[in-house]
Amino acid sequence: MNPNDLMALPVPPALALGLFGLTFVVHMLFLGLLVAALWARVGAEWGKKDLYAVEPLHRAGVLAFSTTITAGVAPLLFVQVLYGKYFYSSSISIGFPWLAIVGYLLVGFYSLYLWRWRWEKSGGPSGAGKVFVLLTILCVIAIGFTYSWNYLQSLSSAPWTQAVRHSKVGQRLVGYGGAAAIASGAWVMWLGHSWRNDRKTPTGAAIASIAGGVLALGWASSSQFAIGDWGMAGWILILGAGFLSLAAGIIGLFRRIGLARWPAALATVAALTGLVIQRESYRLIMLAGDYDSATVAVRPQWGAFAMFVVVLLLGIATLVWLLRVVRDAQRAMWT
Amino acid sequence: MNFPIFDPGPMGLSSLVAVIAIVHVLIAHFAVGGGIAIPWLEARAIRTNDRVLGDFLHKYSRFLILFSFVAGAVTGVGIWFVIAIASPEAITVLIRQFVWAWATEWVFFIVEITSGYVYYFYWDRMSPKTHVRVGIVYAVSAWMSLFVINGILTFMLTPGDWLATGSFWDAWLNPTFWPSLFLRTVSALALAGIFVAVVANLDRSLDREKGRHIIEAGSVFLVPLALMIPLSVWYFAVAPHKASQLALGGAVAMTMFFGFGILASTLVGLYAYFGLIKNRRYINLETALLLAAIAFVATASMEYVREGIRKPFIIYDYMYANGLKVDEVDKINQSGFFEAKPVVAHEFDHLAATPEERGRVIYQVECQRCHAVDGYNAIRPLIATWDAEMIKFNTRRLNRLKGFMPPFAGSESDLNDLVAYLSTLRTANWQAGAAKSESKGGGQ
Repeated sequence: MNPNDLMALPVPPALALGLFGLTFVVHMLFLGLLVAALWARVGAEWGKKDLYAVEPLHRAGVLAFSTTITAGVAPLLFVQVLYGKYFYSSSISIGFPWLAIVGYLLVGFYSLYLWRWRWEKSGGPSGAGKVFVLLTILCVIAIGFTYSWNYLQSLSSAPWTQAVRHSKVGQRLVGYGGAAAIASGAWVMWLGHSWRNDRKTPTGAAIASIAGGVLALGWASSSQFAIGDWGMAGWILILGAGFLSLAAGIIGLFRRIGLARWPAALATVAALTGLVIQRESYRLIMLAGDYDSATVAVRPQWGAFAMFVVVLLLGIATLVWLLRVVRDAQRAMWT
Repeated sequence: MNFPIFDPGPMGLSSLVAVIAIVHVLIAHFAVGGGIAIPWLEARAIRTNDRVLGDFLHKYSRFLILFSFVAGAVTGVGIWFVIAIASPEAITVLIRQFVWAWATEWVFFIVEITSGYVYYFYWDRMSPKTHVRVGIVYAVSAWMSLFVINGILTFMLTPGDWLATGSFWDAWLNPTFWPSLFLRTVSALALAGIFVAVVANLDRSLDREKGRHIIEAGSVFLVPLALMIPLSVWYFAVAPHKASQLALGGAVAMTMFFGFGILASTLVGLYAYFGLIKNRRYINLETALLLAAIAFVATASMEYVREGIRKPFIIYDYMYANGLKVDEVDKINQSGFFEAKPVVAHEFDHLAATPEERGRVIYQVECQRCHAVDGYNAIRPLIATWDAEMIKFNTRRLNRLKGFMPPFAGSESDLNDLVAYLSTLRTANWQAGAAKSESKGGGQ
């Protein structure tokens, strides 16, 4: 056995890149749900006391934080497969601030739970509740900032030689936040459309939710203009998809159309896909000359890949069953 | 593939990894054991119409979710972060060999957390039968996560035929896979049983009799601890002989930790059987916490032993703990450190540098992964009483003097550079010590 073969890629780079993109979009969708839940908590703490959706939002927030982390593990895995050399070097160059993400995650996650307990104890908004909401938001921003920093730091054949300006990281964070906001708008809108159609929820709550989603989508799609050198093709895709979902949302404000949520959701997925493609294209442009996927040694592990595919299919079937269990449980609660 | 070097100061890289890894292992084991215990006990509660046990399990599942889903998931990601910084060469090998194992584990983990949340948030909102089924999905997916990850962890000690074949299956289903899986399962169940006692004591709605009833129900998960000795014998029988020797007397610290881990586990298992199940004794909160502390220390000890007996390797017979591959050492010896191992930590011109500066870089690459200058496993006190000649003598024979140390890799000139740098540490130490004695003498 040639020892060098042991370092060959276990997967063709194109497949790894495709899986990276797919799982990154899923990660962004859950991040959007988390952002939506955080917005709702801000509304609960600083807005009306009798917020309609505190309980579902609490569940959504906890689930979203958990699934965002879990869904984020897969792109983190494929980034290491594809760009390990750059990713590790940039992580080492950043050092302790990179490791601090573990602390941000712990504080942010536990603050979500603490907010719920505080809300129940005080029966509504409270000073401590506001602190917990702010803590979670700050932690999410800090995590986004550090990831953006690592991404920019890794866009070099020698990450340790470049000092990435924090202002540039901030600019990148606006783009990343914009993508999360697009997804959050779609989630809020989806919830509003569902409420609008179930005929049990007050119409005002449903309309407010759709309007919130429309605002988020509009702002987030427009903000992509502000972030700079990310390529016109990507802009057109993002804006096209973003405004398509926006239009679907606006229609939903005036008409009770169950199907209105689907084009909005699909357009959001398309927008996020555009952002991810743009992000990776930018990386490949920056690493051109040092990284060439065509020349990387590949020794595919198709047997292990087959195991993954089988488990994935079984996992999806189990998740579908779990969702059906949840749907039946909710129906039983309503009747 | 070379990487820059991260210096965490006195904390040391290995202690940084150890802290996060041990915390994660404890929580992850509890997640697996708790996942198996809950549906098992719920099925029993339904079968015997035991409402007290059923209500308790709802609270227990909340504890499990708060503890394992948050801290467990986060520290799991944290391990990747810290290993990537501490040992990028090793994680590169692991990622490339096990990307599909990790991806498979990721699927199990998604199912695990989804079923866990459905189980907790929809308590009493579905039929008991369906609820137990959701619990079983959680238990199976949690244990399968362990199943997958166990293969990656054991690979590092026993890569087995992988060294010759490079096959994923040889790497994953390696010689210590099965004994390690059973050892971890026993440990996971025990943690779940102990936390039944802890949570039962924290539940103010339970009187002593109800508490005793629940603790007895949970104590069955402690009994398998009695299997720790035969399972350990199996584990060491298939582990590399040199590694087993380290735990069985070859290295004092490891032997002590191993002895403590085995003894504590066996005693807790016997106590559970004779004290809790046979004689129906009650455990109060203090005792339950003491048992939890013993179980934590025992698990941490066994993890320490698992990491320790692998030395001087990080991947046995393939890569040393300092990230140098076994087949790389000869090349470095022949061509010299800076020719064979270009250091990318900084723009370093070794031709223009002083011997001490070159030695410092060699120290950072070859020694710093395990030895901080001052602090964790510090190098300064180790060489405090050695003169330059002794440092050189010992460093040249490092792997022969201490079996758990990797060999020095470099030419005679590189060795002189390293000795020059280490001598500056020793001198500084002597100067500091001398100044201290002087000031004490002056004060008198």
